[in-house]
Amino acid sequence: MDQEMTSEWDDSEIKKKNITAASSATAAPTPRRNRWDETPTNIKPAGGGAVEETPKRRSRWDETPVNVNSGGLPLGAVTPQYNMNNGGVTPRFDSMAAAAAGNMTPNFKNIDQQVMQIQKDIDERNRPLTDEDLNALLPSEGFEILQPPAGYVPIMTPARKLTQATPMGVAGTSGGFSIAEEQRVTIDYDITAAPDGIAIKPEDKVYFEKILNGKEDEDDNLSPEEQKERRIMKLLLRIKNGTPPMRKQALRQLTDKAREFGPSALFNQILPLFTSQSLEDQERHLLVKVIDRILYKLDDLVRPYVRKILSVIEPFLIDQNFYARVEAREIISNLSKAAGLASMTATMRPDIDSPEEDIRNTTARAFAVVASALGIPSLLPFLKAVCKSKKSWQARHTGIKIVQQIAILMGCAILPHLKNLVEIVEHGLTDDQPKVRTITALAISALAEASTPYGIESFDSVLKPLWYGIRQYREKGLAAFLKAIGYIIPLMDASYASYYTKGVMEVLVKEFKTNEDEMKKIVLKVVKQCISTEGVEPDYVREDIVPEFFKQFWVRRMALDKRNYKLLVDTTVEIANKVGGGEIIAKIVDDLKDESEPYRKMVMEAIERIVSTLGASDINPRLEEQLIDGILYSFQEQTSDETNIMLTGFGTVVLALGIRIKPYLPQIAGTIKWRLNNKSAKVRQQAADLISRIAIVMQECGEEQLMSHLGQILYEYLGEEYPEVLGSILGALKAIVNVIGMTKMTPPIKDLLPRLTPILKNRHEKVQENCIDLVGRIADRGTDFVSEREWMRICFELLDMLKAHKKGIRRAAVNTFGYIAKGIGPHDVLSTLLNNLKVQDRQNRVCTTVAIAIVAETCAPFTVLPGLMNEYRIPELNVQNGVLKSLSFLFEYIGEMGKDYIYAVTPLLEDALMDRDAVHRQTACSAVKHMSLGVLGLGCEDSLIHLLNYVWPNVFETSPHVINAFLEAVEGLRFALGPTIVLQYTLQGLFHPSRKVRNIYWKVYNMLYISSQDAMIPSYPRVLDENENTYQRYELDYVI
Amino acid sequence: MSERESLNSQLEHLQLRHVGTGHADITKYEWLTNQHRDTLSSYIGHPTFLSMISITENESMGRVRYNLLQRMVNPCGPPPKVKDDMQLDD
Repeated sequence: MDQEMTSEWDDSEIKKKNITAASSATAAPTPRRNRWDETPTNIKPAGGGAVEETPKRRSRWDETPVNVNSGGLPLGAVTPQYNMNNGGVTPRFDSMAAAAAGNMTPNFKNIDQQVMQIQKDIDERNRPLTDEDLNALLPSEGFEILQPPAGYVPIMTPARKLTQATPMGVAGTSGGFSIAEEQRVTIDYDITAAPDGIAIKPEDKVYFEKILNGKEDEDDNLSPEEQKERRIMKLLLRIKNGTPPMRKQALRQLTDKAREFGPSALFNQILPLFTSQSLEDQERHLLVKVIDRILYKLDDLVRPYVRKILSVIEPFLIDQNFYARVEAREIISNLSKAAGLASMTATMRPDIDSPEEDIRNTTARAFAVVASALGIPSLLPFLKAVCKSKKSWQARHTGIKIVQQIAILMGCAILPHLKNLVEIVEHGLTDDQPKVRTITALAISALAEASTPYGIESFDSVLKPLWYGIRQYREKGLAAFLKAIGYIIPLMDASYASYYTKGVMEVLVKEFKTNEDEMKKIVLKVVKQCISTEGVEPDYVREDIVPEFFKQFWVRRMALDKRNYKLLVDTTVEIANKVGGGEIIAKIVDDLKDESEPYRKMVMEAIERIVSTLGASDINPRLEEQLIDGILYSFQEQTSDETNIMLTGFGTVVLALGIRIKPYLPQIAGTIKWRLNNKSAKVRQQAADLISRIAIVMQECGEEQLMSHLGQILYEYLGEEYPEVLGSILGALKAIVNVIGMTKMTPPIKDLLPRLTPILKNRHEKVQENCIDLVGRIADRGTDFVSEREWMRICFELLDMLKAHKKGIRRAAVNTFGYIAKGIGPHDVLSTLLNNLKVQDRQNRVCTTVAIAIVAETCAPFTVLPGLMNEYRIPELNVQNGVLKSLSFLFEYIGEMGKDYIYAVTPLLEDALMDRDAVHRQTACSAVKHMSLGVLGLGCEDSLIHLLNYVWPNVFETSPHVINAFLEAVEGLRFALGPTIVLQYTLQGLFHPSRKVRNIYWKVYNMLYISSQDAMIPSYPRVLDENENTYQRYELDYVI
Repeated sequence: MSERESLNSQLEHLQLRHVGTGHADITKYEWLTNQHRDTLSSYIGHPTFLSMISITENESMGRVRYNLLQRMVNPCGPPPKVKDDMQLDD
């Protein structure tokens, strides 16, 4: 449930972010507009303040209206900027943000945003006439501008703003939505007034009023208290709206000084910010961070403020935004750690029997968080008392709800306390208050869910009341009781489970008819849980459950609600697992021809899941016919398939039927052919995808001719312009080539491949990936069918592919290099690759080195090494590094084979390890690492020790990459040479006078120590005894 | 810069989690104590080694094992006293 809610809300959050990003991006350069009816909190009553802020108001009528545009439009010209139905429903996007959000549809859920937007729009329309407007309206003669009287103060009544806004806004929204326009950007942020040039939203001004508008200059006249207040305010503003470095510094200052500022000053300012309507996710997160840190610092000083903090934070526990909930939990958990259990319970105690349902709910959740922070046992006595409260049923209700929330929050961590928790709540099942009974049942089901599959013995005491309960109660109460039993049954052993299932089933079957949504969901879930337990006999399910189940649940209405849909499919699959797939499929197969598409999809998904788990062996010929018929019908009738259910369903059924599908193949192929020719790109793509899914089965059925025919058709469609479709067509071709082989392929490979070469240039990822896979396949199996010339051409195209973003494509390209090299000999390919080492682009070079190493692996290293080492003589950094990197990859890939080549490359590595360039040494080090790991135990110690002598001087490197490569090389050498030899190198620096030396030597020593502690025992140096300390390890000298 | 620090600190953190690793300010006594403990546990951990020691010392293996375990407490004797002038510096 959480997840679904989250995803929805996440969407809107993303949009919100985009919007603000857009507006803040555009806001900075635009000058501030008049907001006559904005809460004028920042205007100084002393006179002149307001006038100063908006210089254009002072311009004389006869002056040229220089700032016509910046001041707003002439009154009559509302239209160009704002279209008529822009009631503010659509969030504003600039083009970038819209692209990022992926759609332009307005988001109706975002009410707050909407209201603010509406407000802004109205502000825009009702702004006062500017001088320019007046210029346009009035004759230029006969009017004079008067200075306002000295004592004049503009009216500042925020209330006016409120009373005016709403009705117009509502009227405005009725237009639905409007497409976002780029110009429609109003100003969100005002940077003129804020200190440090921090942007601040108008909504936030109220909070930071005191430090805005240069008031900080008056610091001297303020009392210490006020100064402190302003300092905190400034720091908070920096944290909330500042740049990351600014934020970091302010956060640190605030944390360091937390005790000095004191809790009251801090929380008086932070908490109001939390309740702000316009608080964004990011800002809330920052504030949470602030609170976390100061809580830690303040520790028990925070106690008097627990109530205040909780009253602000608790509502977030039931916020619709998932992140808000998480962060509220975090704060409460930290708060309880700082303030301690006693003050937390004391503070929240009165809320437990509050008449307000919401308050009790949040309190229960807060208590659950406290329990998770301080441990369940510490809260148990309190819970026991609350759940038994005689004073009011509300208290009992809340207490039991706390247990439920604890189970939900902590999951299997409740297991050690399961018995206690069940005992605390069990009496609630027989409470007089229906609400208490319901919540008790829910709490028990939460406990059972959290503890699956353990802990049945803890639930012994509640079985009986639950059992009577399901016969006694109706509707809501019954649903909760059923849910509890449903979650307990899977914990039981087989015989009990079957007994209880039979009992519950009677009630469940009666409830199949229910119209209530919640009840339906619970019934489905419980049926699924009961049936999946071991002790339930298939016959029983078949006779007593199945008929009524299908009659009541397999109806069109169920397909409309996403959660019902999912539950129904899950439960049906579970039933099929019990009674056999064929039987269940037979029950729903006719519905594949139903007229409602969502319903057909649901049927298809159920069939797909049943067939993929149970296979098609119990599908009889008659059913088989019906099934194929239904699938073909629904496949052709579908209008949209975003989720690919039809496609996967078709593929799965065909695969499962295997050879039995043969009689239907011509019909299927006909459908595919027809759909490949369809006008809609989606349909074509789907047809091609279907080919790639069923190609294997076609082969199985011996339909080679049919496949050749399809191959020919696909070949003709290679001119497809939609990349998505083209990708699928290539995938289908690949599937066909894979199963019928290179020789029998029609069109012949020699025609097909030249047609693919230009497609390699396509920049679309799906096309690239499928194309390179196909080409690689051909290179692997059928190099001979195509001329060497063509392969070289492909090699050049492949070089570009090495730059692809997707790793899969790069890897496929590199592998293809290997296949081509194997097919046409490494020579030409290698020279292409070596030339490519000279290019500028780093990624390209890296991929080239990988390709060289692959070529060496597939064609044996001796074909590649001479040319590669020769290339090292070119006095160019990139090339030499490329060579070294290739060597590194090469030794990584060839592993043991490396033993024959060590002596050949040692002189080169020697040179590289002595090079002035650090990257040379680094890359050579990693080559040594791979080499030594490959030749472990193959008798190459002589040259490895030689190389170690060249590796070792790099011990003092400071650059992180070089030192890392060095450490890894030493690690590799430790493997090949044994720790003793490396230890001898290390000993010399362990007690060196210079700390820098000691530091790195100890690091190497620790590395040795961690990996080969035991092996080093005999190799430690002999140390003589000193005074009262024995340092000799005399047992090592024992001789028998 | 930050990358360098994080690389280093990560590795150091990893190493510090193991008892018996060293650092630039370790004393000879500490290092050797660690060595001795490792050695003793190695004797105990390799039964062949243990039996060799027991034959040489003409003790039962259980006794040798017990002795070795006892020696783990202060394998090299008491820690050397810090010199007075050093203490004054601190």
